[in-house]
Amino acid sequence: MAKYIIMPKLGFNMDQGTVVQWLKKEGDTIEEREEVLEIETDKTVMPVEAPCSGILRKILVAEGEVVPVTLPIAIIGDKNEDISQMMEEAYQKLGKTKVVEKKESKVEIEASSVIEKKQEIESKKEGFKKISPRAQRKAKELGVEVESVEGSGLGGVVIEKDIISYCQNHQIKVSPVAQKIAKKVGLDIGAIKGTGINGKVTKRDIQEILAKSEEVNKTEKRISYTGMRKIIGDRLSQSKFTAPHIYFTVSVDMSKVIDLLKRFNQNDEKRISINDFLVFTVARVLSEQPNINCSLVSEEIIYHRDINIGVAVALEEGLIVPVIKNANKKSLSILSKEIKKLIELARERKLMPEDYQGGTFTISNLGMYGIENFTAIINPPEAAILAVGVIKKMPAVIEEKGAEKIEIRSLMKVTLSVDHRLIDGAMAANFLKRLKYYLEFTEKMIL
Amino acid sequence: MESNFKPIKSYKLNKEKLLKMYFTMTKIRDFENAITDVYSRGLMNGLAHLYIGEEAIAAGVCANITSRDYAVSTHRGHGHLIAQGADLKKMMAEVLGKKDGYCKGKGGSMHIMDASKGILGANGIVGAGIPIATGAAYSAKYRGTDQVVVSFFGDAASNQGTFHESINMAAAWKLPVVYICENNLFGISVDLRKVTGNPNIADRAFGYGIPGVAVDGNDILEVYRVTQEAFARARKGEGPTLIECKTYRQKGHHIGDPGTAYRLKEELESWKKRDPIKTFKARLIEEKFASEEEIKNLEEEARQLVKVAVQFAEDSPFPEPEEAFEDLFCEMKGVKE
Amino acid sequence: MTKMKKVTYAQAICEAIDEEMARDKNVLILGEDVGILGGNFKTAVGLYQKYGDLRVKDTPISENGFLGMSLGMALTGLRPIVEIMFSDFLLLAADQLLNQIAKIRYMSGGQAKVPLTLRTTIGAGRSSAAQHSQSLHAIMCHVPGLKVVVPSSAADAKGLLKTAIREDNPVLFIEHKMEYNQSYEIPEGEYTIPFGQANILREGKDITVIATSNLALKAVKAADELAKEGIDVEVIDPRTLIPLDRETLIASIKKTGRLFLADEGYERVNITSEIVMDLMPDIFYDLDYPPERLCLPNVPLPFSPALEFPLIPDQEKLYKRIKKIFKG
Repeated sequence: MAKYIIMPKLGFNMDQGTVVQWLKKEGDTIEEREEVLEIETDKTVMPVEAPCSGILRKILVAEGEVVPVTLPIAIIGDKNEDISQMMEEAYQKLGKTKVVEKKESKVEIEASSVIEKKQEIESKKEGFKKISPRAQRKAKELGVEVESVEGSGLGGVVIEKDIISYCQNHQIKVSPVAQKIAKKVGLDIGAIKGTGINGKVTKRDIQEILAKSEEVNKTEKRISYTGMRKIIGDRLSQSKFTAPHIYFTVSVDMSKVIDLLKRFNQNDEKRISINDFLVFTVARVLSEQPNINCSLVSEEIIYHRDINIGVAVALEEGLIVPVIKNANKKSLSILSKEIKKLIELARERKLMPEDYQGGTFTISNLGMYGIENFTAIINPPEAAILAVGVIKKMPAVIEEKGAEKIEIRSLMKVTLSVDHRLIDGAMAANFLKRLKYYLEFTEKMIL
Repeated sequence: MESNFKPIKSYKLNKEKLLKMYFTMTKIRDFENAITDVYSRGLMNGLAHLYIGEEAIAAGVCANITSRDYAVSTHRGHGHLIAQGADLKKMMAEVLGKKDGYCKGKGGSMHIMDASKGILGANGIVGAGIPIATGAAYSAKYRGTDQVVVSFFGDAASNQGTFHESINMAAAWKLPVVYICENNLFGISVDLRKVTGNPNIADRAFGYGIPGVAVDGNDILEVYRVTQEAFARARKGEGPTLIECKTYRQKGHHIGDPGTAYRLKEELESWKKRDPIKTFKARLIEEKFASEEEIKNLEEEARQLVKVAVQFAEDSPFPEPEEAFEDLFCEMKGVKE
Repeated sequence: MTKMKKVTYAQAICEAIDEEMARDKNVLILGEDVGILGGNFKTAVGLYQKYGDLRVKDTPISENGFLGMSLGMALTGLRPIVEIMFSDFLLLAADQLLNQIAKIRYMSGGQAKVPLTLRTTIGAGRSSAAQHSQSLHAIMCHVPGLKVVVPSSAADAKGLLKTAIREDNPVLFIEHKMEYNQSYEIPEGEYTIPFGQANILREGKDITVIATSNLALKAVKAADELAKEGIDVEVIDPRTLIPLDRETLIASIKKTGRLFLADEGYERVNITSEIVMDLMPDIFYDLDYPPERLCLPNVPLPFSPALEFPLIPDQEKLYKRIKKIFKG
C-alpha cells in the first residue's frame, strides 16, 4: 500500500517548507521512521521521517523547492506497485497551488477608524448647559425644552428634579412637540384630552389620535422613490436640463414598407417588424450621416465609429434600452432576430451590462399604444433620439403621372429630438429627409 | 553511560508482567509517532512534547501502581497517562481539540486529566504538579488509605521553588509520595549541567533527609525495581523517596524543534543506541522470555490500538463555541448565584 | 427575633471554621501558625487541641507549595481551608492560585472539583508598611475561576465563611485585619449566608453608596452624620464580588440617581472600576451625577502613621466626599 510523504506542519505558523536535501534516492529501501529528507522551515532545518516501510518509489519535489504544508512530496510503496494515480493526484495538487509569497503585512491605519476626532469639550465653552442623563430622559418624557430650565446641580447642571419642578411651575398644557405636530396636521388641540402631567397634551396623545384617524381614511399610498425608477429619473432629468433639446417632426408614408414586410413575412416564421425595419433604415442613414452619431464628453465631441442603436423597452419599473451593436453591418433578418432576443432578455430582466451600454442613437416606439406623436428625451450621452408614432390610415395627396389625387395611405409621424449643442437644424432636417426617403422608396437602399 | 543490564531472571518477574511492560512501552512509542503524524498533517494545534526515548520510566514506574493510586504529570505527559491506563481514544481526541476528548477539548495535550484513574493531570507550568502531588499524598495519609502518589517532573523542574517546598513538606510529614525526576539533561535548550550547582539531582534527597537514588532511566527493569522499593516505603508510612531516572529525549523539546542546535550529535547517537524499547526487546528475545513472534504480535496490537484511537479522534466532532462558557464552576444546588 | 451574642470578628471566623470541621470530617485547615498558636490573628484558637495535627496543620513558609498541596488535597476528596496571612503574600502563590486552582476544573472539561477555601487579610492601619498592608482582592478577581467574598461585619463573615467552606468551588475569602479584635453582635447558632446577595445596610433616597469590607460599616456611620445635613444615603454591601448581585445594585441606583463607591484597594484597577463598568449599560440614563469613589491613592503605603493615616479611606473622608456632591 503506497503512501505519501507529506511536507509536515511543524509549528503553528508554518505554511510552507523548503526541501533542503534528500537523504535517500528513488529505489532505496526505507524503514518506518527512518529519516528520508531534510526540510527547512523559517526557523530551522528538520529531518522528516518515513511514515511506513517500503521502497522510495518517487520523489515529487526537488531540492530547493518550496512546498505548502500537508502537500505530498514523495511516494513510498512496494516495488512493483502501480503508483501512477497517486503521482497524478500529487502533481495536480502541487501544480495547482502557487507558492504563497509572504506578503509584507502593511498595517494600514485608516485615519478615521483609529484616530477618533476628539470633540472639543463643549462644556468648557461658556453658555453651554450641562444636563444629566437622568434629566434628559425626564425632559423627553415630559416634553420640556431643556434650554429654559435652570440647573440646580453642582456647576449649574440640570438634574431630574429641575425638570420636574419646571414642569409643575409652568403648567404647560401642551408640550412643544405636540404643538408642532398638531399644527402640521391641522388638529384642534383644544379638543384633545392630555395624559401628561397636569393634563398636559403630549406628543403621544397626538400620535394616538392620528393613528386612529389613519385607520379610517386610508387615502394615499406611499412608496419610496428609489431603485431603478430613481436612477432612470435622475438620468433623464439631467439630460433634459443639460442638453438643449430641439424637435423636428416628419410624416412618413409607410405603405411600401408594410407591403415589403408582408412579402418577407409570408414565408417566414420569424416575423420582421416595422421596428426592425426602422432600426435597419436608421442605421443606414447614420452611416451616411455620421454627424448625428456623436456624443459630447467633457468638452470633446466624439464621433463614434460604431453605430449602436438602442431600442427602448418599457418595463414596469421604467424604461430600459437594449443596444444593437454595429446595426449598420447587420442584415435585416439578423437585426430582427437580435432585437427580438434583446427585448426578451429585457423583459426577463436578464440583460447584461454590455447589452445596454455603448449605444449611440435610440429609437423609442410608442406606436403600439396608439400615440400619434411625442417628443422623447435624449438618452445621454447620445446626441439624438427618434420618437416613433402609430401608423394610421390617413387620406393623403399623391402625385401620379402629374395629377394629384387623394388616396388612403398608411402614415406614421416620427419626431427627432437633438442636442442643439451638437446637431443643428440643418443636420437634423437632412437626417429626417433621408430617413423618410429610404422608408418611402425602400428600393433606394439597395442602390 | 555504558549499559550494564542485569539478567532478566534476576528480577524474578513472570513473563506476563514483562510482556505487559513491553506492551506499555511500545504503545507509548506508537502513540507519540501518531502524534507526529497528526501534527504534521495540520490536524493538531498548539505544541506537542514527545516522550520518545523515555518510555521505560513511565512504564517501569507505573507497573508498580494501579489506578487507585494518584499520578501527577508534566507537559510531556502522554507517556505517564498511557502507562497509568488512560484511554488512547480520549487522549487523541483531546489532543485534536475534539468534543470527545478527556477534557472536551478544553485542556489539550498539556492538561489532559483522567480523574477516574487518579491521573490528576498533565500540567503546563513547570514544577506546578509537584505540590499538587504532595497534597494528594497528604490526603491519602489524612484519609488513612494505603494510596500512594507518583510525582513526575523533569530535571529543569528540580530547580523550581515548588520542588524544594514540596519535598521538604513531604519529608517533614512523611507523606506517601514518590518523586520521579526524569533527567533528560535539558530544559528546552538549556543544559542542566550549565545551570545547576550539583547536576546529580538524587543527591538533593540527602538535604531533605529522605532516600535518593539515581538509576538508568532507559533500563525498564531497574526503574521498576527501584520504584517498587520506594512505593513499598511509602505505603508503610516511611515517607517520600526521590528517584532520579537518567534518560534522554530522542526528539526535540517539542515538534518543530529538531533538538540539535543545543545538543551534541554524539551524545544523542549514543543514547539512541540504548533505546529503551529496542534494548528490552533484544533482552527478552535473547534470554528467551519471549519469541520474536510474540513480540511482533504485541507490537501489532499496540499499533492497532493507536490506529483506532486516531480514527476515533478524527471522526469526533469539534465542540460548539457556546461550550467555552461551561465547566467553569460546579453547580451548587439551592444556592442563588 | 434571633438571639444575638457579642463576639470579636476573629471569634466569629473561628466559630465558622470550628462548626464546619465538626460537621464534615474532610474539612481541614492549614497555614502558617494556625496550629499551636491558633492563628496570627486568633482565627483558629483551640482548633489544634480539638482536632489534632493532621486536621490543623502548621506549614513552613512555602506559600506556593502549600497552596499547591491544598489543590492536591481538594482534588482527592478533602475540603481544605488555607490561611495566607496577608493578601500581599498571595503573590508568592500566584501560580497555584491563578494558573492551577482557578483553571483546573475548566481545563479538565469538568472532571475536577475543587472545594477549596483560601482565607487572607487586607487593610492598612497598623504601620505595617508597603508589603503588609495591601488590599489586592481586585486583581484576584481578574482571572476567571475563583469566587471572591468580602464580608463587612463579623456576622456576615461567619455566615459567608460557612457557605464558602461548603462551596464545591475555589473561594477567595477576604478578611479585614483591623477588624479582628473588634466586638460585634452576631446571631446565635448556626447560619449561612448565600453568595450573590448584596446587603442593604441602610436605606436612603439621595445617593447609593457601594462599599466593600469594613468600609461598608464606616459608610453607615458617615450616612448617619450626613442625615443631619438632610442627605439621605443608601449603603449597600455587595458581600460577594464574584458573583456580583447586579440586580440589587442597579435597583438602588435607579432609585437614587447617584453613585458613590468605596474600596481600600489602590485606586488604579480598583474593583470599583469594574463594578461601575459592569453596571453602566443598565444605569447610564438613571444617573443624575457622574459616579465617584474613595480608594487608596496610587502610592505604596508608607510606614510613618503621619503619612499612612491620611491615605486610608475612613468614615470622615466618606462624609466629606459625599457631602461635597450635594453641597459643593
